[in-house]
Order: sequence, then C-alpha cells, then structure tokens
Amino acid sequence: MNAGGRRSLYLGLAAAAALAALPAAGPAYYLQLLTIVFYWIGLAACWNLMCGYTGYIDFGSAAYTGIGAYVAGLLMLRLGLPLMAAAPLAGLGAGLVALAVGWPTLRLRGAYFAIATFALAEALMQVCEEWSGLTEGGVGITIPQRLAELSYYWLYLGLAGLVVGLTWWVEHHKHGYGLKAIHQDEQAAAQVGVNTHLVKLQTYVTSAFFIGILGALEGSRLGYFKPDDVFNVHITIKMVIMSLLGGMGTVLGPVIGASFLQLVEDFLGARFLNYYLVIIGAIIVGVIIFLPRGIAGSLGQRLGWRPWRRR
Amino acid sequence: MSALVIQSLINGVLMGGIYALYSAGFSLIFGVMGVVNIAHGDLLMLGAFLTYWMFVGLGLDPFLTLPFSLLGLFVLGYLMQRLAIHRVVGAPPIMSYILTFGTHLMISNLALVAWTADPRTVTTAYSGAHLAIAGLTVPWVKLITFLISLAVVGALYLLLHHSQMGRAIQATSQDREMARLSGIKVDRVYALTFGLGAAITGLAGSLVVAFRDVDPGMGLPYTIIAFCVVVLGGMGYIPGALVGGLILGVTGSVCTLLFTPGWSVAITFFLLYLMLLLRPAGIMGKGIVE
Repeated sequence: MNAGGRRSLYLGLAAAAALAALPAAGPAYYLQLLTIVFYWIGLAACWNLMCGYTGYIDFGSAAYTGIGAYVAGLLMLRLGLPLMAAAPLAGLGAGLVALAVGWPTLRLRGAYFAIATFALAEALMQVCEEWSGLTEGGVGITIPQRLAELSYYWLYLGLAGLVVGLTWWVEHHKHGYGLKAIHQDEQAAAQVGVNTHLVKLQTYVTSAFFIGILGALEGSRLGYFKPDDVFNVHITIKMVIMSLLGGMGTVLGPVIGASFLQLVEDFLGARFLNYYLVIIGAIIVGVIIFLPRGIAGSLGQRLGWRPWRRR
Repeated sequence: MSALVIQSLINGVLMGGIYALYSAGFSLIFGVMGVVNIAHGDLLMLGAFLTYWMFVGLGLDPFLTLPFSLLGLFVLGYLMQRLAIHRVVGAPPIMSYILTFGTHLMISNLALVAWTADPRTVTTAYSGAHLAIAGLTVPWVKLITFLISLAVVGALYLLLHHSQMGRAIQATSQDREMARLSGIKVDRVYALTFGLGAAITGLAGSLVVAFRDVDPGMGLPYTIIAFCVVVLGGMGYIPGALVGGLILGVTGSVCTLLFTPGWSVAITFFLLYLMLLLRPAGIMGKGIVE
C-alpha cells in the first residue's frame, strides 16, 4: 500500500468517526435525512462494487432489497427472530439467490445479464404479490420490531462505511485488478490467469449479501411494506444513477452520487410531487445526452472507454 | 375442461401475435443499434392512447386509427433517435439502458399527469361479435388483430431482406464502418430503424385495445415481455420474435387459466432464466450472443 492510499484510508476513517459522533450535536430532521443518505450510499456502493468495476450492469438490484426485507420480515413475524439475527440471514438469502442467478447469466456478456436481472426483480415482486399464504401478498406485512431512530443512523453509517471500505480494499488488491481487467477485456483477463467467472460471481454474491442486509434493516425501519415498495424498479435505478453521477468504478463515486441525488430528491420531492419523476427522467436523459463525458469523462479515460465511438 | 384449455390456447396464440409484433420492433432496434430500449412498452402505450382518443374524440373506428399510430410513432421514434438515442449508439450498454429508462420515466409519468391512472376501454359495436366453432369462441376483432400482426411481421421481414432500405439496415447492423464506406448514410439508417421499430410498436398498441384496457402504466410490463420474447426467439432475429411471441402468449394464457396472472409473470421469468441457461441464442439458435 502506498502513502497516498494510506492517507485516504485515514481520512476516510476520520470522516466516518466524525459522522458517527454527529448525533450528539445535530438536529433531528437532518439526522433523519442523513440516515437515508447513508442507506443510499450503502446501496449505491454495493451496486458500484459489482457493476461499476466489472461493467456487468445489474438492472434488478431491487430484487435483493426485496428479498432482504421479506426474508427478515417473515423470520421476525413467523419465527419471532430478533432483527439482529434476521438481517444477516436475509443477507444470506439474497446472496444465495444472487448465486443462482449469477451462475448462468454472468457467463453472458452485455445485454443478457441486464435483462435477466431486470426480469428477476419484476418476477419476484409478482411471486410476493401472489404467494399470499407466505408473504401476505399485496396487503403487505407489518414488522413487529423497530430499533431506535439513531440505531439506524449508526447501522447505515457502519454498513455504508464497510462497503465503501471493501471497495477501497478491492481497489488496492489483486481481486480489484481482476475486476478491472474483466471490464477492459474479459478474454485477455482470462488468458492472463484471472478466473473471470469466479471473480465476478464472488463480487456479485457479496454485493447482493450487503444489499439484502440493507433491505432487511430498511424494511424494519419502514415498519410496514408491500411487495411494490421493496422490489420497486426505482430502487435499482437510483443505485445506478447515483453510481453513474458520482463516477462508476471509483471508491468515492457512490458516496458523492448518492449524497447529491438524495439531497436533490429531498428538495424536489417536497415541492413537485406530481412532476417529480418526470423531472428525474429529464435529468437522466439530460445527463446522458449533454454530459456523457462530463460524468464518465475522467473515469472514462482511465478505463479506456470511448462513449462516443462504437466498439 | 379440455375445451377450456383449448380456448385459452387460442387466446394465447391471438395475444402472441401482438407480442410478436412489437417485440420484432424491439429486436430490430437491438439487432441494428445494440440499444436495449426500456421505453419500448411506453411506445406501445402511446399507440394505444392514440387509438383511444381518436375513437372517443373523433368516433373513428379503432382499425382506421392504425395508419395514424403507425405514422405518429414513426415520427416520434425517428425524432427520439435523432435527438437522444444516437448519442448512445456504440457507447457502453449502460448508457443506453439509463437513457431509455429516463425516457420511460418521462413518457409514462407525463402520460400519468395528462391522462390520470384511470383504465379506459375501447368498446365498439362489433366488439362482442365472434366466430363459434364446436363450443369454442374466437372474437373476430382479436382474430383480425392477429392476422394484421402476422402480416406486418412478414412485411417487416420482406422489407429487411428484399428492399434497398432493408439491405442498408442489414449492412449497417453487420458492419457500420463498411456500410459507411459503401455510401450508406449510417446515421439516417439508425434513425429510420428506430422509427420503424417504434412504428410497428405503436401499431401493436392500437391493436392491443382489442384485448385490454388502456392506462399510462401499462408500458413497462410489455417491455419485460419483449425481453422474454426476444430471448426465446433470438436477439436481433426477426422471425424469432414470432416464435417467441407465440410461445409466450400461450404460456401466459395457460398459466393464467391454471394459476393467476401474477404467477404467469413469474413463470415467464423462469422460462427466460432457463433459456439463458440452456440456449442463450434463442430456440432456433440464430440470435446475437455477445
């Protein structure tokens, strides 16, 4: 590890410590806003860890927030497990599903992975809607356990810090070089000895594991949810856009992107309720059309992307 | 019981025609430009609303609105490509997913604000008329939409293989640089292709009003069905859309009969998953596998 890497590690730890101590001083509204920001940093960082680094685009990550929320919710509701036991189990459940989905689809490059994951999230939502004997269907479930508001603040901060830290570790470790090599040229990566399928699968399952835990915690924080709330495609798209805005395949990209978008959303959502999604859509289209290199620019040069030229 | 199953098979085949029609547009756009169009179902929704408003506002027969949705969506698709999509042709796939997802958000939510979430139905004087054979009923309207769908997919195939424009589109999809060197205006071919894909999708929207009601949120599920159809039939392979569409139509209809509509969506996904596992190039093995 070089000196720069070590310095950024200490800086990151210092920032996390400062944020952890913040509740002693901050007013409640901002703490709640920050809690949600941390939640999204965690999710975006999970998405970025897999998709930002390998270039495989998961368009159905909401499948794992949904699985997390439902597995944990049902374990608490039906078996009376405490949240702190249910949440890791929910993460395992999400990881197992990711293993089953990733095994066949991660062998295929490009559009197929995105399509399969996109359809997965929608299909799982339908299963939750229909299998009402298990999940209560469209009625939704009410979670019996809820932690104190501040616990979520620290939990989300901790998880976001953990995933960002993991990304940092990956960035400076052989595993990360493998991921980046896959992004640039998968065949070449395989030829120089990267077990590409295994590396992708490990990363994908890890990412789904943390998304599952975050989904489980958020489910208990909400207290009540329906399939449409936790499997919503907009959850996925937010992770994607946050990563893209901040810079895909970078350690701090999701932190910047998630903080920015969540604060914008907090501002817009309160003022333009009806047109809010139209505006978000317009922002997305505008960013892709007018700033394709502005966002991916510096990153793009480093990874050898040429967004304006067909490969 | 068996009559019920046969009846649902018939319904599935009839619906499959529509699936095939707009999925052919989806497949065409992907095959030529490599763009996965997540706003595809919303184009279908716009076609359906165009027919609804012309029917309600002008009293025009739904079948007479077909040329309008064909032309209207062609223009919209052409402009969409020229104004936005052309920026992401050849970019990493994520750019096109996100761009078309943004487009989906804009179209479907603007439609929601303009037309509200109320479902609307198109009921004509002849909506109930049907052909009855041996206890089975085939509504005339659905039969005609099926035949139109088949004819349009056939026409698209002929257009791609036996016309100057079609050859230009094929050449561009095979090798963009060589096509350019041969004097093909690649940018115009892309815009035409997107327009063409949008046009037949709008047409499918006008036809789908014979099967169901119309609402602004109807688009996204159709996009997902298009994914499944083209994976079944083979990405970028137009005749495959016909096979995939019919299989999906029948599967959906039979599953709805045996279980519930929600389960049929889940089973459709399972089918997609199996296909990706076993035969990613589609049933006939002629799709594009990257």
